[in-house]
Amino acid sequence: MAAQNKITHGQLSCLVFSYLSGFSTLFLSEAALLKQDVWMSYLIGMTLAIGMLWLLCYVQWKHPLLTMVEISDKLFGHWVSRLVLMIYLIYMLEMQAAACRALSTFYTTVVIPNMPSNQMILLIILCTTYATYLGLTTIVRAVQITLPFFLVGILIICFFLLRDVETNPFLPQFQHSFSEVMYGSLLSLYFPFGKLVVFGFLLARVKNMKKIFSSSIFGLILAALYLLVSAYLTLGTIGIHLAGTATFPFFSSIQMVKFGEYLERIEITIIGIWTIFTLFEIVVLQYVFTILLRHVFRIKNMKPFILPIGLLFFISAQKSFLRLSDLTFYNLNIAPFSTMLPIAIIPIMLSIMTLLRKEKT
Amino acid sequence: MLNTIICLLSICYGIQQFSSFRKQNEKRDAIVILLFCGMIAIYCNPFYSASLPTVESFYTFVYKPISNNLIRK
Amino acid sequence: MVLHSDLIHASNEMNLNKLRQIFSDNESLVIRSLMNKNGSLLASFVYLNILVDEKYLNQHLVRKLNEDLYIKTGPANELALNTLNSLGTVIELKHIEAVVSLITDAGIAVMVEGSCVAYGILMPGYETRAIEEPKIEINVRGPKESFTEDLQQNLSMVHRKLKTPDLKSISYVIGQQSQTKVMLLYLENRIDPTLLAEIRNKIESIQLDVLIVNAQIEELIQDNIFTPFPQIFSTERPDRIATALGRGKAAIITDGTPIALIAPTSFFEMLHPSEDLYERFYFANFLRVLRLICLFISLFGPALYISLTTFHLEMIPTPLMMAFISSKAGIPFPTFIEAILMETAFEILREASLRLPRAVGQSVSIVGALIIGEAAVQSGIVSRPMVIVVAMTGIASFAIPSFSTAIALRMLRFPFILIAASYGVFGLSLSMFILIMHLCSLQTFGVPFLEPVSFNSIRDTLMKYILLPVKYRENVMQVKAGRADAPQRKKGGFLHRNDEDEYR
Repeated sequence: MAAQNKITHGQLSCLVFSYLSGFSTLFLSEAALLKQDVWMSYLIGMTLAIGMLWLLCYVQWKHPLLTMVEISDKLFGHWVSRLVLMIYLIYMLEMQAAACRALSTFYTTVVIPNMPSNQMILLIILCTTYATYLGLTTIVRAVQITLPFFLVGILIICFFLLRDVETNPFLPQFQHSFSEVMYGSLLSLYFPFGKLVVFGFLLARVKNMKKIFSSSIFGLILAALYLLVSAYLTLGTIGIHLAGTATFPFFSSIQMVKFGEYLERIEITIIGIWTIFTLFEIVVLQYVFTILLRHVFRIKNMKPFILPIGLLFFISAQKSFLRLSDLTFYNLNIAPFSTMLPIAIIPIMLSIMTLLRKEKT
Repeated sequence: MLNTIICLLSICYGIQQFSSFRKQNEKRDAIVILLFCGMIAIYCNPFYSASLPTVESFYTFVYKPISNNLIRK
Repeated sequence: MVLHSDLIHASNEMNLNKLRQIFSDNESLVIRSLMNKNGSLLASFVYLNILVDEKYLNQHLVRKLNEDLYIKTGPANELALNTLNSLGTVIELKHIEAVVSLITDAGIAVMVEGSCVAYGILMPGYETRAIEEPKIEINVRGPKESFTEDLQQNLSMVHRKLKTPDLKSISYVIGQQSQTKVMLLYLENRIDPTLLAEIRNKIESIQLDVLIVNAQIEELIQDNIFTPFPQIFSTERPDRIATALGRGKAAIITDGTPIALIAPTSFFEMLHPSEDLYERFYFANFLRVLRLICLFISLFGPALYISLTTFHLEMIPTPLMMAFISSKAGIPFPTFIEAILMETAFEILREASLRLPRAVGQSVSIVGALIIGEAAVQSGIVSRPMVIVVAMTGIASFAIPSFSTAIALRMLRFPFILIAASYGVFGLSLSMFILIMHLCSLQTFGVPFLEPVSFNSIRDTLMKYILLPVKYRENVMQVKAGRADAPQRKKGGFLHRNDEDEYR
């Protein structure tokens, strides 16, 4: 791989954070489900994601000169590897469809009710297609440019919301059963922490191989902190019951901010954050999809395929989750189980195969 | 309307890239792009695309029984 | 016209006939001959009287040459060479082509009868503009001299600021017809050798018929020709060139153009005038932040106003919202049309004020702005907030130091207005995303266009962007080989793209 196509571990952290943050604070499904015990599900979900990440990093460290797709070929063989990669391709289609739909639903519900969702999704996909075309180094540069502004925006929002939190919303603790907490953890593993599995295919692009785990963890922990703080502030400002019933609880809590009888309506900040971070999330998914597709079909010249991939993403998003209730049902009932294969089972298999091969040699 | 336009554009693009790849003797790439654009055109066609399967419908079909069992438990 | 590389003949008559043929129908060609006592030809000199200083020529060269050739004894060509050496730098010419080149460059060619070598000496006598104050990049504290059209004068201005033998200048002649001299300047101990090699390659590969301004060079050597943003900085200030050379950049000065180019450059450099270096660092940094705000207003001001007033009224604080709504009462056009009308009128006014004679230009533009603004509001065509927004946007764009960048921002405002009118804040967010992605993808000579944002170190970024006190400034501002950071791209069109490794 040419040195100029590599990214630094700092850039990896930034990308991981913006990818995982995405629209993670849009629905806060776990907070709606577990209420004050949501922190446990985040903690467990994050821990499981760290474990998954470690497995992927372990596999990458054992094959420093290969990319993850080549490692998969080596460990699983030609055809099984293709099957495995197809699973990831479908996983990415699923994730991006959910992301596009979530963002467009938010806009059509709250911001611009009269705009057709299809047009919105198409515009999103055209933007992400252009970004994919420009390449990974451009993407991470753009993330680095925009991240400080959004971090400041997040801090401002947190500052304003914190003033309205009077009691600790995470008390009283342990009000939910073990199975409920486990289910919440599964939800948080599926979304957002488990999405990190996609970065397994980008680890080979990092210059300093030794720091891939620590830098990814840093991004993951920051994203988890952001999610936790959002849940805390949401539950603290609008209360447990409204947080459980509101469609966009964090947004509802931000809408209530009023400072000095004049400064209000700071929700435009979070709208911008969600939009840009979700775009970055879809860009990463589309980019990794491109890498995988190239490998699965052994395509030589990938450039002409970028637009059709974008169109594929468009039709996938357009035909899926036609109603918000479909998306909610899918997120709560189907996705936590459907994503186990790419998030947990395949990384475990990869690491076991690596270990077995290592013992053999 | 939007889907019809995308359907037509993907057909034209697929054919154009197919012939371009054929000229470069990249047969595999040519076939893949034709199939790809064909799939997009099928999904965007204005007649019966609503009944075509999606990732959501496929996974719902596969995992719903599993989900029902586990969540009930 | 094709010049043949014919050697100079020993017979002056033959040489002169060739020159007469080459310069046929050119009345400014002057051929003067010196005869000896016998009436045979001693020497001839040829020049274009519109370029050469004829007075000096007659007083010094002709008289001395005449005396030396007529009175002194010895080989004629040696006598002529001695005479010319006492008057200036002599160039030996062996080909007719070189003689023609010298003559067209305000030189005098002296051909001695019987010698196959001619001698040339430059003696420009045309008028050049005196060094004046900069008109575009005005400073309060800094030097008040700007480049002129004369290459030698410009070079001397730079050399006076960098009195070091490390300042190198490579000369090129570009343009088949124009034979324009172009100088590439750099500091040998500062510049990255690969950067220098790339710039040299690009300049050497320029094929032009006529080179009049260095904007032609700029377009031919930049990496991406379809981006609205300039990738090579142009300045009329020698101090700016000296600072840039000190940072390891290269400068290109063209004969006949009072603007020099600096390569590579970055987007943030376009926002920083040289004045920043001459003020205290507190104010300089404050002004840098202000300019960033002006950039944002200039680009997104009208678009944000349109999106908020059209789609997201609830996001505006209530008293302000009431003011907007009440001012819009009775206005027949939607906000988007108002914005387009006012922006177009402002652009027309701006263009017209550039072309008006200086004496009336300023007053006409002020009156025009007042009349357009006031009359449009009073007649109920546009609302007052829209006039304020457009005026603020215009003023903000004037705060951008780089004229080329300001034009790019003016141009980009219109599509953003359209997008905001169609898709509101959503469209605006997407436009911002695309713009940032585009800027991140640009590079000049291997250096990323957003170069001060160092993608390896946040500390470096802050140290480069935030202007430090002078004693800490020097080392940080160097253009490093951050070139390893930048992906190698083939020069090409709008969608120039990656190598095979990108999607591996």
